Amino acid sequence: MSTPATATPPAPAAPGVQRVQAVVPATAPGQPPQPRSGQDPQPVSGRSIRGTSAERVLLISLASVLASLLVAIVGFVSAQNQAAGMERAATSSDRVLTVMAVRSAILEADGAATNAFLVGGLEPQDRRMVYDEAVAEAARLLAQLAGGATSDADLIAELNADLTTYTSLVEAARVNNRQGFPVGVAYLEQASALVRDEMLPDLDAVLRIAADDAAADFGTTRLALVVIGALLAGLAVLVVCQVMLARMTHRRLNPGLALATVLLVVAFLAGGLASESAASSAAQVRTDTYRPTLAVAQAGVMAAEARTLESLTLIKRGSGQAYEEEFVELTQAAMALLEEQEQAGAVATAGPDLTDLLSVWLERHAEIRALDDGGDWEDAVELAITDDEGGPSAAYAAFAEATQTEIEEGSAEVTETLRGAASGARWAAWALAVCGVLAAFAGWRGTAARREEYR
Amino acid sequence: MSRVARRTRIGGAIAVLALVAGLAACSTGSGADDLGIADEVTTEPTEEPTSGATTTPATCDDPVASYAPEGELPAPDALPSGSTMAEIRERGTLRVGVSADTLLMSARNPFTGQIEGFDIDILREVSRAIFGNPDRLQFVVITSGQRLEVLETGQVDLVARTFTITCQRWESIAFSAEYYHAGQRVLVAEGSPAQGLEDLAGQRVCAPSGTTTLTRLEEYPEVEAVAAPTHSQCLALFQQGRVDAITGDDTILAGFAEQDPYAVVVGEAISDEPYGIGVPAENVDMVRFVNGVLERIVADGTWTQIYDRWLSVLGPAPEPPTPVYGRTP
Repeated sequence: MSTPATATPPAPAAPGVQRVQAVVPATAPGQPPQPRSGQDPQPVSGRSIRGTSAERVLLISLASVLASLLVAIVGFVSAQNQAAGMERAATSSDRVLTVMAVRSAILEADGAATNAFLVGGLEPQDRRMVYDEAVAEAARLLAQLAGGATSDADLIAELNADLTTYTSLVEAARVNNRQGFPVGVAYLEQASALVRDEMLPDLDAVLRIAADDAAADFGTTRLALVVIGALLAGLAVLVVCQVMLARMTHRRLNPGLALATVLLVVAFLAGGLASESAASSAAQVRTDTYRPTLAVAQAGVMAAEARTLESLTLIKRGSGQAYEEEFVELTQAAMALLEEQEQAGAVATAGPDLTDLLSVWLERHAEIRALDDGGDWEDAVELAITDDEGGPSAAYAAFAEATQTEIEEGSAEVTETLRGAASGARWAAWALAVCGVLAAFAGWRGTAARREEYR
Repeated sequence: MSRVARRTRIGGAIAVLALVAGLAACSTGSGADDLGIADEVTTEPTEEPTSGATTTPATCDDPVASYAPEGELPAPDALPSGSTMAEIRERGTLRVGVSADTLLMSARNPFTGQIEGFDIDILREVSRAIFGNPDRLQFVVITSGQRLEVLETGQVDLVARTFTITCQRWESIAFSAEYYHAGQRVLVAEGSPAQGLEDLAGQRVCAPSGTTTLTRLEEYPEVEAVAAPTHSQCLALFQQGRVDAITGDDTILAGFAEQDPYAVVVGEAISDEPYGIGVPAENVDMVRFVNGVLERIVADGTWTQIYDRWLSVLGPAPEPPTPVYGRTP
């Protein structure tokens, strides 16, 4: 288009359009112009006018084809990416919860080891089993995390090494305890310090990375906007093409272009809206299930940490005030998180309320504190280590179990919803591709007669 | 047709706007937003206070001089009214700051859960003098670095935790007369040629923070000093090969050698460590009372019995330290 424009004398674009309409019927009313006229030595302006008409028709058909193909390609790629993003979001949100589970398992192990130490001498077999199971769980989950490690690979490797060190320290504490050597406490303290000073901060870093990855994957759901945008742009181009063609040819409707438009409208209704609804269901599960589940998991982790502090406060025997203060801080934060979720109605209320279970444990804990603060350390320890129904350990176990169930249900729902949304987006991708390609075909075929006319 | 086109475009624009608004509302946000922990800081437990007193040592004429007992030790049911002892008797327990992991001196027996040792038995005698019952002790387990703090805040009535009497400590608390005379020695791995700190140049030597031991270790600049929160932590580090030797009072090192057959205590004592029972500075009457108790247990042979029970690994019972008085409040 630029070559004729520079060759012709400077003329405004709008009059040019009018001239085309005026000239074409004049030279060949109702008949296509001479096919070879472009090669004849004719005046530059005349050749340009007729060439422009042919080119314009060609351009219109090309534009309609390209717009339709654009919808097909952009729609397909975006919706596929969207689907992939949702699948990744399912994986990465699962990963976030796995990191939480590692944290919980490590704290559980440390809590059991610390509590068993309070018992003194030969530790009870069931405490030992809780410890062993928690360590095995942490190791299994860390291996699982290592499988999908990205930028956190180093941290996870370090956590693995730390877990090995941790278990060896607890073993050293245990062996010394069995012989009645106080150095056992030193090993236990080292083990606890390793958990608190090294492993938990590393896990926090891994958690941040996983949460950011999940957030980015949830972000790809916004690709639905690209799909919608491409569809609207395609429709707009088709409409403009039809308007221009109608003005040139005085035919009101081009069946091919009309069919292409209908196909794109179908694409909009089938693909675009499917993509959008997949995006909104993913966004909804993020706010309605993913975040509440994370909140419950966090509350569970805080409680697990507080559980260790309960034992440490007693081990410190009178100088553990700092631990008790931290216990209060953590459990209050956990309670606040859970209350927030329950008020928002985000937590399933199938079982007993998590806040109630937490309250029960805190009441039992208060009994331990009352005994210890009253100078009755032996009875406080007795209460802290008992596994009796109605004791603090049982109350904590009930809370931990309910939390775990809640997290598992939430996690399953998030994964299921996201996988469903992903398959919706995949369906949308194919619908867009098929409709777009068919529209391109219809547009090209529909303008074939007009192209012949103006050759 | 163009009207249709315009309407489509306007409708499209509205649809896009609605979508943008809708998606932006629920689909943005970082990982921290999902976690809801944007600014939350996980609090770590407060570090053990390490009041490593490295300022210029305070001087005084005689650190071991304490307040002399006044007359005969009163009977438990005849404590002077208004005295600190009467208050404690009223309360029902004697609160004492002790170690739970210094074998022989004061350690938790893992089999019984009881804290026991030389220091504990001395405290039991004080309890006996106040209550007529040696078991009225309420233990507060503290680290070496916390010894001054718990007395200054009045959290405990007494501290018996391998507590060396020094001029500097006299500035913030009071001490009983000396009840045990320890000396700083060195523990090394069996087979080590080292016979003292001077042989350990370039090696890592552990001592608990906030102790006179660590202060003295700093007088050997060629030795790499490693501070740990407790004596037992030093032993753990030693067993892990993270330090080459431990320096500490012979009483404490004897407890370590009991726990580890590959550790030996070598060399002569390089310092005098007179142990006293720490008392809040204002409780002068309590200091005098404790001194009275100490005099009595030395006189009736209880002191020697306690020594034989716990510290015979260090050799036969020596003469109990002779109390020095003359300090005035």
